[in-house]
Amino acid sequence: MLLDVRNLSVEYVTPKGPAYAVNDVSFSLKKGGRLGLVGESGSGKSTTVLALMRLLRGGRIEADGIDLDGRELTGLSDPAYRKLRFADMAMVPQGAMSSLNPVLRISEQMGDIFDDHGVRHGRSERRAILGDLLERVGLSANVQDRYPHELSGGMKQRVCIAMAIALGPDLILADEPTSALDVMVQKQVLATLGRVQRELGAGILLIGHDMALMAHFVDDLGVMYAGRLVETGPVRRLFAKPRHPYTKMLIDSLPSFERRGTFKGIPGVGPSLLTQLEGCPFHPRCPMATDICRSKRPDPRPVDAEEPRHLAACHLAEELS
Amino acid sequence: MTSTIEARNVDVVFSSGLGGRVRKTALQDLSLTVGGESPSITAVVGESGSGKTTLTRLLLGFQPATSGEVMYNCRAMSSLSPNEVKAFRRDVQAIFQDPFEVFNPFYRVEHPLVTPLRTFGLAQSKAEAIHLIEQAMETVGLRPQETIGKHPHQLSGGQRQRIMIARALALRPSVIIADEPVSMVDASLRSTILELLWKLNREQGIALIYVTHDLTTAYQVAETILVLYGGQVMEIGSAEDVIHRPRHPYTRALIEAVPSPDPDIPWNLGDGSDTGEVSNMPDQGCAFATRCPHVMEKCRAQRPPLFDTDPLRASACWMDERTETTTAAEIQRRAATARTVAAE
Repeated sequence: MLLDVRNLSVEYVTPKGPAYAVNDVSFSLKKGGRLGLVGESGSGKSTTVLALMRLLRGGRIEADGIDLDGRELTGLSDPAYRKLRFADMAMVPQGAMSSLNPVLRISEQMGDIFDDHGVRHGRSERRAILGDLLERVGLSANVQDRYPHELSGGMKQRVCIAMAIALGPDLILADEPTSALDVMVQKQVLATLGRVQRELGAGILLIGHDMALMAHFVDDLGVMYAGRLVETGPVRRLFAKPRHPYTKMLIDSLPSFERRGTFKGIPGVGPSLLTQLEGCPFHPRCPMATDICRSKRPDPRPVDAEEPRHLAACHLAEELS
Repeated sequence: MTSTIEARNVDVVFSSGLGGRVRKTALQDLSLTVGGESPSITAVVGESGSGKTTLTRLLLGFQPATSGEVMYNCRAMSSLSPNEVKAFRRDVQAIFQDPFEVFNPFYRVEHPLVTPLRTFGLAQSKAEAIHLIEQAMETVGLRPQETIGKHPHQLSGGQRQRIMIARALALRPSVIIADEPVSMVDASLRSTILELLWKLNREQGIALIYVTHDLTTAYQVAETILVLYGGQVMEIGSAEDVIHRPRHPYTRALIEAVPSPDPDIPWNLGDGSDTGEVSNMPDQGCAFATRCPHVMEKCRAQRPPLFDTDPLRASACWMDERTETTTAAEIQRRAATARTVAAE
């Protein structure tokens, strides 16, 4: 296993009491594998990634274990974690537009990664290495002489991918890397991300809200709701036989070129993170909810006789047709 | 009969630099109608830089045409009197992309609804305004007693966007221009909001322009789809024709870029080597020529007009060259006639 996360929780202290952003999330990712996490805003998917990178501001992280390639990360000191970022796991941030420093040339920001990890190069050697990285993500080598404002959104996102792979990490965490891009650019950037990930042999954890895109990119998918993983498993199994009503409703709500004038939304809004709802967090919006759903919280359990890795946290998983 | 906005051969050119020497064409020779006898939903689909936002601003009267004319009920928009402009402002409503930025955080959420009702004299008293607001909120699926009196930060993005739709509705418009109304709303709520827009058209006869970058939602709600690229209309036609029988190479590329919700239908992701983007727009010829896989000599030299290729569709591509040319507005008129005939 490349990454094994056991019971990760993140809690924020707010004036109104603790906010439970992530609750007991467990998942694993094998070497070179692709795992997706989907969910609506506030479901805790970005918080999960930031907690793994230890880049959260103010949140309190608790976990029974975060194992990266045989190394336990929970007790690691902050300086050790700093060494880990980029070298062992790197993040492609959401909105590359705002994550590049506008007053530094691309070469300077990319060079920082090497400098910070004590990798020294001669001037022309550094230039060649950066040029090579940029070419691997489909940009020309002299993009390193430009400033971020001279690049388009898609180009900036490619620069961020180049930065993420600079030190050859084993794990890439990509937080909605394409959601701010145009459809055609989105496809190109995603293809690039997939290619460099394959070349590197790295595992990738992709965060997103677009189920259709996930269906074509990841091997395994986790569906998050109100800070909890409500269903996980191989992506094709999830699409063919969703075992949580929320997953099923998300799939049904996808627009397609097959249907006109039919709409299947999910009524209601997600619960407030300030209160721990009794029972299943989805029950107020669930069309199938019964008494047990309102009183007892379901834990993730195997729901598929043919696929032991397919888990769902629903009392009524077997009744879902 | 509802009101009509019609753009006739509109160019919008932005000038900058010393003496306006740097010129950027945002819209080129655009003709389009909204409203009229048979109010429908027209989707305008385009990527960033395609001129979508300029088109929205043009139809809302915020952006003057450099050449050509925008007509409101057969009168040139530029010649409307202040009173007529005020009537236009009530009759034509907008819904914008970002449900977070449109609210002033210091006011309660009903403030942007009460103010226009009073301004346009639709409510004589605050109580009457609140009554109208409650009606509008119920139409968009919000519970008024749980919504009125709250501040914007207490509501979700989907709820705020519904308030903005309620605001538009409360003024009893005949035309709504919706600029990316669901792109910042969660996937689970998108369908609900699109359904709402669809119902406004079907049940209240409001004509809609739905501006989006998302072909699938365009197909879901619209009768007519107009594909915009680099300020030029690439293709316009019935949703069925444009999506299932696309003619223009750009439309085809857009459709291929959309992943199917079925994981078993392959989405040819490739390896990301095609890095073409809208950045290099040619000064002459077809705007898509720099990225088109079928580009010919002629495409770079001369801009193709909208060729009249099918009864309910037109394509601006030299590969579809015909003797007859047409305009987007004409295709929309034919679609309206076809709908009327079908209804009878």
